[in-house]
Amino acid sequence: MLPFLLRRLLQLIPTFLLGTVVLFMIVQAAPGDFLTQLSQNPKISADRIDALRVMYGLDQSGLVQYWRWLTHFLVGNLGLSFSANRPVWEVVAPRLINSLVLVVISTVLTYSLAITIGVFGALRPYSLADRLLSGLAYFGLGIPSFFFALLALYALVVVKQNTGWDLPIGGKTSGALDDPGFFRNAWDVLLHALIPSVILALRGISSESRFIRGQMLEVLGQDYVRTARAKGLGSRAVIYKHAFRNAALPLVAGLGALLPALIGGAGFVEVVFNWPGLTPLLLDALGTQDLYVVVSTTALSTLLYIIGNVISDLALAAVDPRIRYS
Amino acid sequence: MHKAAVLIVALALGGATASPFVNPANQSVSAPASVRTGGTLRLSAAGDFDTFNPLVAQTRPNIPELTDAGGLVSVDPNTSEYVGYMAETFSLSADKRTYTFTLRPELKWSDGQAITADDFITSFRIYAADEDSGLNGYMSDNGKPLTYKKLGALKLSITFPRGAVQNLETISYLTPLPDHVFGPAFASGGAKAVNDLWPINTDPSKLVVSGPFKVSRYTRGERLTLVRNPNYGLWNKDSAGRPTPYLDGLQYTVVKDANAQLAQFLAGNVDVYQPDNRDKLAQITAAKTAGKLDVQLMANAGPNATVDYLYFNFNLASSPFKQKLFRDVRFRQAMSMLVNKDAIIDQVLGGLGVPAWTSVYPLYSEWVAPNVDKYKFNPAAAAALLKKMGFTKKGSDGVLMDAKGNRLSFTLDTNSENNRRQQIARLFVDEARKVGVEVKTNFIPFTQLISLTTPATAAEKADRKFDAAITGLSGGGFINPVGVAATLACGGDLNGYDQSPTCLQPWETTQYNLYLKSTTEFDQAKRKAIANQIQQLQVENQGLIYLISQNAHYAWDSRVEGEFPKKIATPLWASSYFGPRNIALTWLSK
Repeated sequence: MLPFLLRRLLQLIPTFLLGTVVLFMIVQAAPGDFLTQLSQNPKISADRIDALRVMYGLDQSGLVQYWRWLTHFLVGNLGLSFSANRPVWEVVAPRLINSLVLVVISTVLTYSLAITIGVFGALRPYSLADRLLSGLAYFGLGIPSFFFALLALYALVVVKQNTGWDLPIGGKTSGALDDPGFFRNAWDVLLHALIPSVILALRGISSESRFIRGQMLEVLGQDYVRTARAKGLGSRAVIYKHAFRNAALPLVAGLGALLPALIGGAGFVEVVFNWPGLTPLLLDALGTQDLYVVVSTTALSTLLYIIGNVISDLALAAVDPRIRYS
Repeated sequence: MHKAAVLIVALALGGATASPFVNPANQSVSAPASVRTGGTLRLSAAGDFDTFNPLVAQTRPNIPELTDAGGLVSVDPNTSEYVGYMAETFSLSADKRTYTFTLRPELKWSDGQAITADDFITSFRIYAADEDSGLNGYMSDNGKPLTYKKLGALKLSITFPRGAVQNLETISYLTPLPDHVFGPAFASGGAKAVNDLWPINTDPSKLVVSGPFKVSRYTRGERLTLVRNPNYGLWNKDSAGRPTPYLDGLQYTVVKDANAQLAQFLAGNVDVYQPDNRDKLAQITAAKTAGKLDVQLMANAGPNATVDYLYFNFNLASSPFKQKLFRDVRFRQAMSMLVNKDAIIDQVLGGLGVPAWTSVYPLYSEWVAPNVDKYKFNPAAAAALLKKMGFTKKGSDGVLMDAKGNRLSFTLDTNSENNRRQQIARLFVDEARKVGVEVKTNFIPFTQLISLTTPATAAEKADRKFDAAITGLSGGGFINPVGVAATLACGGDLNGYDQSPTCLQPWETTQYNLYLKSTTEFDQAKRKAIANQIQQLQVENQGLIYLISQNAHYAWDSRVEGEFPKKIATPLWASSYFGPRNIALTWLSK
């Protein structure tokens, strides 16, 4: 196990370096840089822009900029955000936490509902309920999450206009609350997080439930399951102790992607629902070419992705006795 | 007895000279007697705020603009004249270069300190020294600096290098900074130290402002809460003598997505909203007519102070054929005759816009010269003109060619974020194809487009890498609406067609000289005459082929009262933050 771990960690280094080099090159390849938008402001003189260019290090070659960024990143200095004029970590950390709220709630929802629906679909395949759920799943897979979010927004507005029922349609907190206590604030944030999380979860539920259903169907048809039933084992033990554990192996392998997803933000749902998460920040940074916000955040998630893969490999070895790393 | 009499007279005189600024009753539809105080106005902002520091704030909306009262003078929308705001009285010298101001004695910052001439003098020094400040450009005129002198505790004078008509407008932009905060920082650390003051994580109670509201709380990316500044009401009253503002505070929610902003207004969570296209306007109207939303809607209040225009690149050294073509006035006139502005307004704006013909925004209708539509939509005339230029043959693909075989084909760029301009481009492509002109489109991000049209180095400016582009302009003052130096000067920062530092064609030189002449012409009738001459040059030479101005629409919750009367409720006087109202006189009925 230990040599395996060591080998994986050593592999991490060239993978990470290559990934960040490519990332840096792509961001630099975009024409212009952060200062291009300033050049349009007639009140900022060309000399001033040149001075800013030196200050931000944008006048150096790509290689020098990359080396500088890398050496800082490795000691925990993620660089400076040009727009906010503050360290990247200060700007990104609160957004990360906000995104985490949405992602955690939606992940819990996703897996609990997906497993239930998937197993149910496998136990009663092609029944009316199964067909209905499958149809809904295909629907959910086909609609992009931000479009779903826009539809939900429209529905909420119509509900508000017709019934006066005030569901939060955006933001993280209510403006009307003045200095609420911790629990009142937590409840308020939870209410605001509910609908974006549900919409996020819907997509996950659609894909995971189909996947689990397929896996379960395959496992339930195996000989050892038939043997277990013949030996008189109870239905619950057969399904959950034997069949599901084997069906869920690929699911465990996919858990590694959860770690970067935790910081990856919740995508466009955050933009539509005005949730102050990571994605709106990244979109702004991309638009203004705020170099270090984009590069450092993506490098962080690259790192977490690689680590997450190692963890899921280890988890797989723990769950599946057939797999042993030498 | 004698002493008492003197004292009484002195007191009476003192009382008589106590003169706060009075917000006139003709700026609100509500009489002061019917007004109720209290309540918080809810607004939404499309972007996040970046700093509390007035010198370096870049975003729109930005916090210093919300919390600063203004400057020495302000405009009375009913008369279009400048009146004293922080200044009680002011006068102009005989050579029209020096203004002398006497400040109101009641002026106070939010922390209780008095606003005095020292604040203004220090502010001017900082603005002149700090190149990062947005107001730095106003402290000099064509390279020559403004000078200023403190004449007393409440008296100061400002002298301009030229007696230009925009000088009072410039003065109205120069808002004071608190001397007791910015002065010491500037003295010890210069421009850098003052720029570093008041970053976004400053405790709001430390901020010192002059405006009707001050920051109470700010959560980044979420919400900005402002409360009433009681010291503002000491020198700002309504016509009944009551202190303003009537509101308890403002609340800005940061909503980045345009659909979400509309949804917030439709759900009744936001009080003031400006729909900017027909679709949003239709949704609000539908909700209002169905009785689901209690709002006031002012559609088509007038054209906005914006314009879109199309231009060709005079600096295309790498393609001599195209450069010669674009510099040929007949070509530009022909292209102007291929722009179907009525179709653009109808299809792109849904009828909610007006055509533009010169650098004077259609909003300033009295300033638009006569007969500016000389080269209006006329494909037959365009084809004839192109034929006269030598494009007589048509290739097998239907594209015009000259005798040497050069095809009449070019690429039109515009920014990918702007749907309106892309649709305009496509309409132009269609019309051009009908007469045999091939136009290819290229929609690129704004920053990339700008780096093509206004590159940094002189070498790049001589050979800019684009053929034609559609961009636009917004803002500018009402004193001399014919334009600003940046657009009319050759090589000016906002000049799209000619970025070479010396004028390439005689009309460009004439245009700029006429503009300089107009800035020193104080007689409005004569200034209009010069503006007409400039506009005739623009019409004849089509350096910028002006396209359209969108109409402005305003919507607000019915509980928001005290808006401008109809006469002044136009985009000319409406605030970009609050719409057609004076925020000091705004009140909430619910």
